[in-house]
Amino acid sequence: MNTLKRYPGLFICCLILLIIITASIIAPFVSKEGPLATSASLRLQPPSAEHIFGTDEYGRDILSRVCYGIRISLFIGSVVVVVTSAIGIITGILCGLFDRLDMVVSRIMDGLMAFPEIILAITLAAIWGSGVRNIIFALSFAYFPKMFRVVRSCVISIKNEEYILSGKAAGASTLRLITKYILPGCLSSVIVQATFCFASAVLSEAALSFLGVGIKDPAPSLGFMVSAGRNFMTVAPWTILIPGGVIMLMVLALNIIGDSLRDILDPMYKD
Amino acid sequence: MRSVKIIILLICAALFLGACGRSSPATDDAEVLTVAIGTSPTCLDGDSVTIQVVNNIMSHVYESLFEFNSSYEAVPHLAESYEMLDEGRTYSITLRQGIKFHNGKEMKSEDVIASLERWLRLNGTGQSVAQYLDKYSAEGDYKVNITFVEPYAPFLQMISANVSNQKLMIRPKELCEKYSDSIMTEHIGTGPYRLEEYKPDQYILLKKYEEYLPAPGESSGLAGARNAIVERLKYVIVPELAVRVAGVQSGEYHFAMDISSDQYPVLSKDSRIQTYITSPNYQLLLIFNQGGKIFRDVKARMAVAVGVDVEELASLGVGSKEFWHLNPCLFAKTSQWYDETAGEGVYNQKDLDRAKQLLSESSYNGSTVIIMNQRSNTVYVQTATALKSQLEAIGFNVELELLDDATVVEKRKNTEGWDIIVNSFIAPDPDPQVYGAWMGTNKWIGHWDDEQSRQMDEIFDRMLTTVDQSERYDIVCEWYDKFYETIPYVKLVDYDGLYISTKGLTGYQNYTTPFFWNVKLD
Repeated sequence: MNTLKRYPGLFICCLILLIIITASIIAPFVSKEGPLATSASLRLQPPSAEHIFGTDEYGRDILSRVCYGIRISLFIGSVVVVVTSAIGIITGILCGLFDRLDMVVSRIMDGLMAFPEIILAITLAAIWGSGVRNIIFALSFAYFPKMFRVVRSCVISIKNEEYILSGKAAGASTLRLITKYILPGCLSSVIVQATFCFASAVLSEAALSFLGVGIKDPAPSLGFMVSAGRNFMTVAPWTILIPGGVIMLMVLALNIIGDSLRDILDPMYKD
Repeated sequence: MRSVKIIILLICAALFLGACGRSSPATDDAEVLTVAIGTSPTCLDGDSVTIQVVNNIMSHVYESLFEFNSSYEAVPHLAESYEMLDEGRTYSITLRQGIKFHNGKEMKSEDVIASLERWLRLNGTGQSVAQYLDKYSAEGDYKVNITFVEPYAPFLQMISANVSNQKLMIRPKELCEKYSDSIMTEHIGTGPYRLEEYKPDQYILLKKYEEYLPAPGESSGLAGARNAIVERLKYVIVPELAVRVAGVQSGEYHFAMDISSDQYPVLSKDSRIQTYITSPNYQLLLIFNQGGKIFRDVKARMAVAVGVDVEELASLGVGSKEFWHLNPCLFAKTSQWYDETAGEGVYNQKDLDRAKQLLSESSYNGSTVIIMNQRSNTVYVQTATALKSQLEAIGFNVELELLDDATVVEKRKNTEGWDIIVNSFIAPDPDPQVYGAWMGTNKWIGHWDDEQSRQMDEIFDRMLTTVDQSERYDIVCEWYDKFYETIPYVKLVDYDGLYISTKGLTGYQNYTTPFFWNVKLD
């Protein structure tokens, strides 16, 4: 309760995220036509009782498409977080513990991090092609160096702590040290980085779809809906404002949650 | 300390003044008419590409012996006159004298012959005309004689056609020899504007040609006097529709092409804008890759033809119903070539059962049908997206690929990698013979080469040499029957073009292929 009072933004953003997740769960039920059914007579209808968010240039229900689009965004974001965390944690821990390996791998990661992530993701998506699987690969490849850096820094700062050295002296194996002491010590940083990674992945997926190298039409994608809606900004602004607004809310909520978690899990705060 | 502050202030002032200055030299903006186009030309050589926008731009640089007037009649332009000899087999064309190319050289018959030779060799229409040609020659400096094996009635229409770069553009002999079969990168014509700068994917800049000699007669369509009033024309590549519209509204562009009809209700009420509707401007078509495995089978093509809902495709693709018109015939109702029975039993049947039956009888094995289109054209994208679900309802597995213009142009040269392209022809066409450049064995992009394509060729051969109009009309009807029997394309609708300009643009003559001589900027 004290945490919620201290971080009202966290509470509101969790609520927003909950609503968004709920929308993705009830996606099959929000519209009987579904996200793909076209109708020439219903093109570019404004929001109404029958179509709460209106219809797009193909007469498709925007509410349904937004809900399914959220599903895709959340799915991609979640998988990217899992993949980047897994790879980032393993490589970060190994490089944090073994200096010779660190010398080589860190330079490679520095090289990868020199590229803006979105540019790297666009390039990889253009090479590998569009589609959910390739987008996940592209974004994971672009984002895991950051997770690596965070974990590696954590490990370097922890590995010379007294309890680690004591454990070593007591004969604990490296694996035991990692699983029992090092990993739990890095967890808070990983969680915070994971939320930022989630937000970035959602935004990047939208950007890739906007640019035409992400999820392809007619599959519902918030980014592609924003892209297509540009042609109808003056005649049907809901086609761009609603999916754009949803992307904004999702990313904002995730970022604020990440910021709040960082503050909460900061050891100085705990003290 | 005080002197340091003064120095810092002076530096800031200098930076401020520098930022206010122009970053590029040259042109006073008031002298430049800026036209926003959606498609980027891959080159400006009309003999090497069929992209319509190249024709639209380069019609300011090049001229032809004959040009279409507002009624789409071929009228002498660089030619002074012509006569038919040898019972209609020979065109003896007298050239106007004193016409200078942009390099100062006077246009003479040797330049016409060299341009003709290149056109016959490289241009799709030229290649189809070449088959019927017997000989051509210069007679002195200002006359050319072109002789056909048999009377060739539509010759003047063919060399004047303002569609897909079919026109015979007159260039200096030296330029034709220099570039021969290579893509031309220098452009020297006789037109009211000369090419000043070409930055691919950015802009094409044309400058008024001071020594231009206008054709006699009042301006009518592309024919008659062309007066370059505006100093420069700048065609700017703006793929985004919203940016083209916003650009005209803000005054950054003076004219914009390829505006979606969905915008019309808003734009027609905008006091900053003038709207122009050209009706009809285009024929919307589905082009099959008949060199590919799926659509070399006529039953697969017929399945598409009878199964699609043309009205839905038009509504979703073009937009408002006021801007498109159902028409199974390849000519408008007002045309002498119109046939009300064209397409009976095939056009807009929306018969899913029959389509599925045809598909099951075809050689289709469930492989993926690739609809490939350029991302830059809103009508094509929307039609292709709507088509995907309709084809899936028939039973095809479909993938939609939206690519940049250059990639589409490259890929469609191949027999693999694509199966359907949504495309359009400029309408109206001057003569049925014009379609002979696109329909038939290995014509245009269809990779059509079988017994049926040769039957189509044979129909065009007869159409070409038949002089009697009534007999020719019967052959044209036979062509429509063959078209709907073989379905090289699926004809969807005729649709209108919407262009917009700023209020300050005056003198613009609305035409299917926009041009900017005789216009003023206030």
